[in-house]
Amino acid sequence: MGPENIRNFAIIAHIDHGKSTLADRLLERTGTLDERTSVAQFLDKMDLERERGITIKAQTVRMEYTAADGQKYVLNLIDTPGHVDFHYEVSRSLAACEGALLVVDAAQGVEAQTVANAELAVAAGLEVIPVLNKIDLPNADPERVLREIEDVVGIPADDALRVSAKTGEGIDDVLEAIVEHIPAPRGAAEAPLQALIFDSWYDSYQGATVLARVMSGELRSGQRVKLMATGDEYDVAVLGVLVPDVKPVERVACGEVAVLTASIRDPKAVRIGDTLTDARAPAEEPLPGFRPLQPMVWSGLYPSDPADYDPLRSAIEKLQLNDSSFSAEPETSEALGFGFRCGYLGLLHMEIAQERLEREYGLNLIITAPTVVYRVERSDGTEVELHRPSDMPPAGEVKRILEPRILAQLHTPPEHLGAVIGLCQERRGVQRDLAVYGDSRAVVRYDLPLAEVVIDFYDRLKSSTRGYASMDYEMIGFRADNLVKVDVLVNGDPVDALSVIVHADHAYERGLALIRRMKQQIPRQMFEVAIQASIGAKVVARVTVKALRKNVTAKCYGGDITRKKKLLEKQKEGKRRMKRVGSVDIPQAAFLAVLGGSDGDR
Amino acid sequence: MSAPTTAADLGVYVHVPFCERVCPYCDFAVEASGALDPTVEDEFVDGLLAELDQARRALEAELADRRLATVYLGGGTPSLLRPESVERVLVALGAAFPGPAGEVTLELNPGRLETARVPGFRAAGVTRVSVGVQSLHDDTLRRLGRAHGGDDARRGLEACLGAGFDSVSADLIYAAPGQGEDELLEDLAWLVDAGVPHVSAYALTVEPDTPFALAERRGQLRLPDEDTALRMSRRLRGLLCAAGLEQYELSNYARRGHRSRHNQRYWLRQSVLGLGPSAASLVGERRFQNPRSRPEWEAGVRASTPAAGPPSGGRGSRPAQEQLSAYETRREALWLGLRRLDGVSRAAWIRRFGEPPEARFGPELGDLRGLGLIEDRAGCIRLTERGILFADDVLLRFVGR
Repeated sequence: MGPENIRNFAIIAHIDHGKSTLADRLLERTGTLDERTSVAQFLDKMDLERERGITIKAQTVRMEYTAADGQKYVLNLIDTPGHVDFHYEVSRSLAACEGALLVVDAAQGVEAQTVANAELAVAAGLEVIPVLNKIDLPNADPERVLREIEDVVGIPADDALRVSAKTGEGIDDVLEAIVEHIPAPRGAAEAPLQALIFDSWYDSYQGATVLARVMSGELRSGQRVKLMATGDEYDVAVLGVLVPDVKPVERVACGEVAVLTASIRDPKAVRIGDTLTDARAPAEEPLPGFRPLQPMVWSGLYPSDPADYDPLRSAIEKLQLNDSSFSAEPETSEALGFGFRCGYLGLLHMEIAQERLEREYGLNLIITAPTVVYRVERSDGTEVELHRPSDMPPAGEVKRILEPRILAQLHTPPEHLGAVIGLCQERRGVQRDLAVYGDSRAVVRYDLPLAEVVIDFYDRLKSSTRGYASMDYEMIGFRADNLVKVDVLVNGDPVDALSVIVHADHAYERGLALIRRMKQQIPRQMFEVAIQASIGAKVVARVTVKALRKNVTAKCYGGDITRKKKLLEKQKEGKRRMKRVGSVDIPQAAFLAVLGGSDGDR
Repeated sequence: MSAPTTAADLGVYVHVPFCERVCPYCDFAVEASGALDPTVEDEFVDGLLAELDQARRALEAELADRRLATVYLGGGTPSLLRPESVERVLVALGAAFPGPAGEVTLELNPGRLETARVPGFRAAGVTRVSVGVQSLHDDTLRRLGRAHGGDDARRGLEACLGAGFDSVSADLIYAAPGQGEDELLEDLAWLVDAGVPHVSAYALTVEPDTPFALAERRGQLRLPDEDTALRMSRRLRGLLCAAGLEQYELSNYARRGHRSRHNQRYWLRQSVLGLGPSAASLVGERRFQNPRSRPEWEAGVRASTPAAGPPSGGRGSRPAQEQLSAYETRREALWLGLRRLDGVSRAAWIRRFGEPPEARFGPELGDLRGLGLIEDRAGCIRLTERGILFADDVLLRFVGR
């Protein structure tokens, strides 16, 4: 089959707008999957994805379709992760397509991720076909939503399709539109091989499995291939197409999507966005757009029970195998013991990774509050990256501190605009622009410090708009601000693990809130305990845990030494579980009050 | 009278579990018996004598040649026993061990009936009474759930002081619900004026699973705040010391010659044989404890389970045993010894263990010295003024992991 009969496309949508259901219908209608085997939504494989209605790992499938013109077509549905945290992966998946179905809920209308995904598709040069889904809903308002697509997304909606993925209405039109409107792949079949890697996963039997779109040349079984980012070479062991199971083939031609294994034993060798070429006749250049993934959000993971350290380590290793964007390094915390410092692409990614560890591996975790990566410019001109505030160079060496910024796009009904703007201002946001579309929708864009968003921004956004606002963001680089490191001192001794980096304007209130939370968890001791928040040598806030006046269990009666001993042992066990800083016993709860995920009275 | 007892002699503790009613703060092994039924009483004393007999046989080697130094009848309310019952026990003990015991203490509740029995107890061989005064104020006594009033307590004490005992002690509870500082000082002044030579004063401790614990959870217990309690303990110490009652243990004060020899056996880890439900024993380096409930204890005695012998068939009757390691023995010697304000004698330690205390506890002792909780004085390691207030923090170093 020639490239003119191949269509590569993606489905993009805001969460819950029906992307997976539409994919299921397409699979059924093309006979790729019959209704019986369709587990509710085939494409969302993992329980977690099904539960949350989102796609974490892209799943891809090849369909065969005989169109109204009587010709047979191959339709490659290239699934994309559904969330902003996976922006880069989305953009790589889109780069493997020529077109995209933009699914919009006919009742809810355009949301933040509708716009974000559409922008990515347009930027990738894709033909975007708007699809109004859920038109069977009684509160569907197709006319309004069409206007929103034109006004907010900025693409023509005249040819928008109207479907109900649930009932199957309009599915044939979708298939026809794919054939008719999405361009056939182009690319030089005779040129050296260039295949774009847009997904991969790992299992211990076959090593890495790679999904790649052949952009030029062709892939053959047994071929010696090279990963252009690393230069590593492998022999293709199994070459196939996904229908949706792997169907082995001898060759995959230019324009098609291949699945392959090549005894790649290092799970980190395969990187999304990398280019696969023929080792014997390599392409001169890799495909554009590759960049290694950088975790932007970090948090500590510790087993609640120290005995669970080994199970946690092996669970993390397994997770890393099928989530290359999740990184982890061993870490020892004075307060929490042995654990891991884990890096994530964003907040949702973090939540998912943590939930998978807890659920799939049955672990109870202590999860510290997320922090971001800072960059510190030293006076000597060198720069260091800070994964935790305690790694800060001495004050004298620090010229300035840079923090990661995001550009957030916030969609809200206009009546909640005030609340959204208030929240962004409070979080040191700088407004970029503001637009109101009709009486249903306002879109405001803010340049925000990522650090101000990682803690409870989503929750606050949702609660202050009664759940109506949606948000999408992208990283826009690092910028210097008046940032300071606030240290916590207990009776003058600094507690490294508790240092935080905050804006100087917020140092007092954040410092005070932090030490107040801590105070509630520190039991009274023989002496007064001063908890201070300081910037360098300057104390900005102080609270005091009053001294215990006495501690005498008076009775020692009737010679029942064993019982008395047990009482003392119980008291001692309580103390043993505390951490000693200087001469002060601090329970784990006090550390968690500061480090923990719950944000208390921030 | 307070000539030191020695390791080679023996104290006997007899636990009498009966109380007319159970006080809401008490978590000892007691049972509300009302007026004690003479049949129950006789059966109980029979049980004690049988147990004594068994213990002597089972512990023949350990008990051989030990002189009986002290006897202590505690409870519960041993004064609910008739004087003739007390006499039966003392006669049996006298027959069992070479004696006579230099100190025979009976805990006495200052109710009217019991006060009337005071001469009888003296005649039965009791040499020392410990009177459960708790307070001399009616309201405080009522809130503590006591049956007697302030006048009863005064009359009881006066009767004891005039009965020819070698010594009389008053038990006090302070920092009790609703109790004021002045009230406590009034009580102490009366005790001193009356010539009471020994006082045991305990800050009220709310023990788990008592009615007071429940009331506290419900917010119905009005205890003096910590600062008040602390002032009370300071003034109590000050007043008693000024009156010539020296603090010789965390909760005990005595005039010269009136220290409780029996209680000091516990702190010095000298052998004590316990008889009766829940009674604990230390004989040589073996600790064991009787079942807590009277029926279980009686079943054990009836099944002729030797108090410290090999476990026999009697269900639940087997005493809980603990064989102490050399390390644990030393740890106990330290934390028990430190309860005495004289502290732990370095020379006595070396004599006993063949090494100085620092040999095994150097870091702990150094740390406590650094914190100002213990000091070295007159050849002893002892609590400082501050250490007395934070005794638990000191003792904790020598228990558990």
